[in-house]
Amino acid sequence: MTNGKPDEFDRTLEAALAKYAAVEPRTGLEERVLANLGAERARVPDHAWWRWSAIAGVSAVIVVAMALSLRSDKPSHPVVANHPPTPIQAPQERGTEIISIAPRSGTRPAPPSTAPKPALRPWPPDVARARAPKLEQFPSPQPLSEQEKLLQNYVAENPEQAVLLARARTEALRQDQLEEMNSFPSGDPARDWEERNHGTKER
Amino acid sequence: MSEGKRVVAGEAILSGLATIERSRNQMLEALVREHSRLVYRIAYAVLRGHHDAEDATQETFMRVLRYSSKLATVEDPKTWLARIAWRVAIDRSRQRGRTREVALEDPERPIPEAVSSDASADETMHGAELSAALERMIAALPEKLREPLILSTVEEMSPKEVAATLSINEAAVRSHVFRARQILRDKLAGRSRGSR
Repeated sequence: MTNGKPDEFDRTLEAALAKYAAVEPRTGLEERVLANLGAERARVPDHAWWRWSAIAGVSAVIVVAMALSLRSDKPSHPVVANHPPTPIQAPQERGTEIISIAPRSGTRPAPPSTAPKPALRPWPPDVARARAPKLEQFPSPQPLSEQEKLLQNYVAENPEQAVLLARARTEALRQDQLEEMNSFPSGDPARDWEERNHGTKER
Repeated sequence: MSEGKRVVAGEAILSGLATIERSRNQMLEALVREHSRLVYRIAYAVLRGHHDAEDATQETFMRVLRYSSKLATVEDPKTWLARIAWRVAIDRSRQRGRTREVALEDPERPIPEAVSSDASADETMHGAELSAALERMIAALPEKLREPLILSTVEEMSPKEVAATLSINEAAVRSHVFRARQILRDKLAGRSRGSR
C-alpha cells in the first residue's frame, strides 16, 4: 500500500469480504426444501408411474420375444406348404417335411381370372434331374396287351412256324413298300399329288 | 421360458427399480441436509437478497430432483451442487437485471455477524456503510474478477472448488481473486482519503 497503512486496509477488506456471504438462512430451510421436493414428487408420480410401466412393458416384450426366438430355433412341426400339385416337385429340405395339400374336392374352383397369371417357372435342370426317377430301360416297360400275350404263346409253342410266318410277313411288307415307291416317283406323296392335280387342271 | 418365470422376472425388475428410486430419494435428502446452507450462501452472494436466495435454493434442488437419475454417477456432489446453484443464481440475476444493482433497500438485509452487540452506534453505522460501499465496489468489478471473488467469499468453498464451479483452473482463481482484492483495497484507501 502507498498510504502507509496497508495492514489496516487489509484487515478492513478481509473483514468486509468475510461478511459478504456470511449469512444464515431463515430457520427451517432444509425442511422447506424437502417439503417442496416431496410435493414435487407427489405431483410427478403420474409421469413416474407411466415411465416405470413403460419400462416394465418393454422389458416384458423383450423377454417374450427372446423366449419365442429360442423356441423358433427348434422346429417341432413340419412345414406345411399349401401349393397346388406341380408336375415336378422340389427335393425335400433336410430335416423338414413338405406336405403338399391339393384343393379339396368339395370346394368350388376359383373362377378364371382375366389377369394374366405368372408363368410357372420350371425347376432348374439340376433339380429336375435330381428329382426324375432313374430308369434302366427307355421307354419304360409296359404290361403286354391281350394280342401280344396270344402271340407270345404261339411263338413259344410253334417257334419254327412263327419264324417262317415272320419271314413271309416281312417279305410281303417289303413288296408293298416297293410298289408304293414306284407309284410316287419323287418319293414325296404330297408333292406327286400336287403335280397330278395341277396337270389335270391345265389340261 | 414359462409364464411363471416371466412374472418373477418382471417383479424382480420392478423391485430393483423401486430400490433404485428409494436410494435416489435418500441421496437427495442427504444432499439437502448437508449442502442446503452452501447453496443458499452461493445464491445470496450473487443475488444479495434473502427471498431471492431462498427461491434460488429451492430451484437448485428442483433441478437436482430432475437430474436425480444421474446422482449415482456424480463424483463430487458438493461441486456439482455448487455449479447448479451458481448457474441458477446467475440466471436469476440476469433475468432481473440485478447483477450490478445493489439492493440497499432490502428490509431483510442481513445484519453483519462481525458487528458485536456492544459496538457503538457510530461503529455500527460505519460497518453498514462499509458493507454497502464494498457491495458497490464488487458490483463494479469486471465479471472475470468478480465471479471468483464472490464465490471465494463463501466460506465453504475452497479455491479448488471455486475453480471447478467456474470451470477454470485453480491458478486462475487465485490470480483473479488477488487482483480483485487489490482493486478493492485501492478503492477503500481512496475512499478513506476522501472522507478525511
